[in-house]
Amino acid sequence: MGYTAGLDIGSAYSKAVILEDGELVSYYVKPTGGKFALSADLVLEEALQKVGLSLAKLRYIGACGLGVTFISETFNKVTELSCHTRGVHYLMPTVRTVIEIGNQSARVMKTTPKGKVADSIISDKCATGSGRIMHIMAKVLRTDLEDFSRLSDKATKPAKFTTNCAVFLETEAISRVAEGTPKEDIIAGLNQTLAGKISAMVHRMKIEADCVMTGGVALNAGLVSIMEKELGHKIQVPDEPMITGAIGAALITAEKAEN
Amino acid sequence: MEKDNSVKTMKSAKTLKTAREAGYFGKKMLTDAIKAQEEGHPIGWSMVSWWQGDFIAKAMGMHLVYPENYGAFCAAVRQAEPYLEIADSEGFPNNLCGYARNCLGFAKCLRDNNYVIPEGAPGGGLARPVLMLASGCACDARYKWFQSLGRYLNDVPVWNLEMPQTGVKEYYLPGNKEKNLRFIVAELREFVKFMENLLKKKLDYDKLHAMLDQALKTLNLAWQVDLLRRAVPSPMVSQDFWSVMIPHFYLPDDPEAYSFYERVYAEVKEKVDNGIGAIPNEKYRMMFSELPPWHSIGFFDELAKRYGIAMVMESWNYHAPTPMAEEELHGINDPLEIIARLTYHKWMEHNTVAREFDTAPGFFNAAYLRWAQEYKADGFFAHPLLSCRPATYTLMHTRNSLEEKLKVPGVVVPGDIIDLRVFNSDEGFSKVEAFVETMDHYRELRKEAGMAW
Repeated sequence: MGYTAGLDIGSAYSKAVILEDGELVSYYVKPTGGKFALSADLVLEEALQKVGLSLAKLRYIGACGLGVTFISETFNKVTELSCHTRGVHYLMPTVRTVIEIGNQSARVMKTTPKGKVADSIISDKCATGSGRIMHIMAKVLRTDLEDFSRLSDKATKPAKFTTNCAVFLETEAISRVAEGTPKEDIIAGLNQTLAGKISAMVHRMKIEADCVMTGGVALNAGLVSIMEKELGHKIQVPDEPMITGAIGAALITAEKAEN
Repeated sequence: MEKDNSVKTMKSAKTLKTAREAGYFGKKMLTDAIKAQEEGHPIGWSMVSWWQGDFIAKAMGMHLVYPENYGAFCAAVRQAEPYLEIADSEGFPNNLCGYARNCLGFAKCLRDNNYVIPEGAPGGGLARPVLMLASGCACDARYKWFQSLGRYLNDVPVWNLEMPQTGVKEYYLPGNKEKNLRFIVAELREFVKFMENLLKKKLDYDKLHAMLDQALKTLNLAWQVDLLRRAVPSPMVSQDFWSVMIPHFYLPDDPEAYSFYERVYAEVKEKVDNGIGAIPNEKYRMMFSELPPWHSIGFFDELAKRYGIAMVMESWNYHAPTPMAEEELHGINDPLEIIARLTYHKWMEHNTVAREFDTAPGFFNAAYLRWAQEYKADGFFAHPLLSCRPATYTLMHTRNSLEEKLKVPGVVVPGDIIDLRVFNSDEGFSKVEAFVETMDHYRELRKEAGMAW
């Protein structure tokens, strides 16, 4: 089978993986920064460099994500839902429910024992149901996203938000900051709002067996913890939760090409 | 450089020759009404009432046009946006019914043009009415729509026809059906009185009876076409149905509609007899619900091309009902009672299935449980409509029922009947692409469960 690359060019992060005969040997993740074409080239190059490969060594490239059309190399486009379930199945074969929260949307998927999509729900087009709201809040609070988890743990009295709209959430957060509410409490309150919205989607899908959360938001342990309480179910998080789409794109592309 | 003023549409190519001819009936309704008005005949704007009021108005010489159909027409040719924008500017919220907003926008233009149809109105426009015939069937939004039109047509009376839409358990209560029928007949008698007063003429009951005979024949034939669609591969798909439905839904009393269905039947039958599918390489059979994105019917052509998906059956409320049992009409000579029985039957006919599956409501839900088996459906395409509450209320329930009871999964692609700004075809393709895997999975589950398809 040789080397296959998988790319997931998202609106917030670009990810690339390299598989050698179906084994993950390298990956690279970087912010897209609004430059889809450039970041697609860069992540692929970096992922290849990590294992000392050149582009010429790749037999196939599979890709998904919002910025997929900007990829300059010849590639096979794969639907995102399929990529995510397949990628999760590759990393955690016992998982049957996937909660994927990216920058644009939240998705809940059920997978078959073979890692195919058994069922799925995608959130409404709304920033409050996706990772986008985290980025907005990070700016308001002048905090790095990476610190959300740590800060959320320190909250003593999570702020209450009265709206489900990202625009008004931002306004409310600014008011809370002006009132002197600690940022830890604002972040914890935000986590609760987002968790409530996504948990409702998961309930609609009816959680089954092992459950995993992927996407950049999965790095926010505070949110994962609230979701576990809301759902009454353990949620696993892969070591690198952002690369499942890219892994799936590579696997599906290689399978398709070989068959 | 010349400006490109052409409107980009996403029309379906349609697979049936007769489906490509069906647009004639939509245009005929509009142009006939304009001509009739010029000749001094009364015009009515009618909601879809499942034939409750149409025949009576027509038997009294009134020409009917249907604003809902007109909304679909405007959307299909992508000319609804200007009317939607006018409705917006008049203060009608954009989450109201798309058909209503299109109609309100048009009515304002009509009034502003001194009740002469403005030049360039799609399809020739709707002639000025002397009556607005509303219906309490199906939709709560419709109560206020025609009342709101009073802002632009303030001398035009609105008559609202009612029909009981009971739950499944109530349907089986002793005497319930008879009571409901008596109610509908009483409603119709009041309507006849009102019409006789409005038009200063008497209803010709013989003429009405003859129209009904013709209509029942046409509906029967349209139903037989539906039966042919059970064949694998499917000889006709939803893209065809959305055009073919116009004659039986709006003009079943028109002999031309009957002749048309004879040709539809012959064309579909020939395909069935020769094992010819509507789409080449049919791989998946799906049902569609509820109203389609009229502005983007070509979306379904693309699903056929990309994934081999045939839309084998669609929204129950636009189909001809199963023919009524002989005893249902035996000895019934009052045409008003025949109308009452027809409309009531249309709404209640799936209650047997609803009871079998212990689900409600019988309409908007149970039909799909029946059809999934009869049409060997692999999946359910749910199209929640931004501006249509009734069509969306039961959609998720239907999706879940099909999955739980028959192992037929559903995919949800939101949009709108009129407003193309809220329909994202790329997102739709992406969802359906993944859904193909889901249908494969459920096929295996049905096989394991020993189900027939």
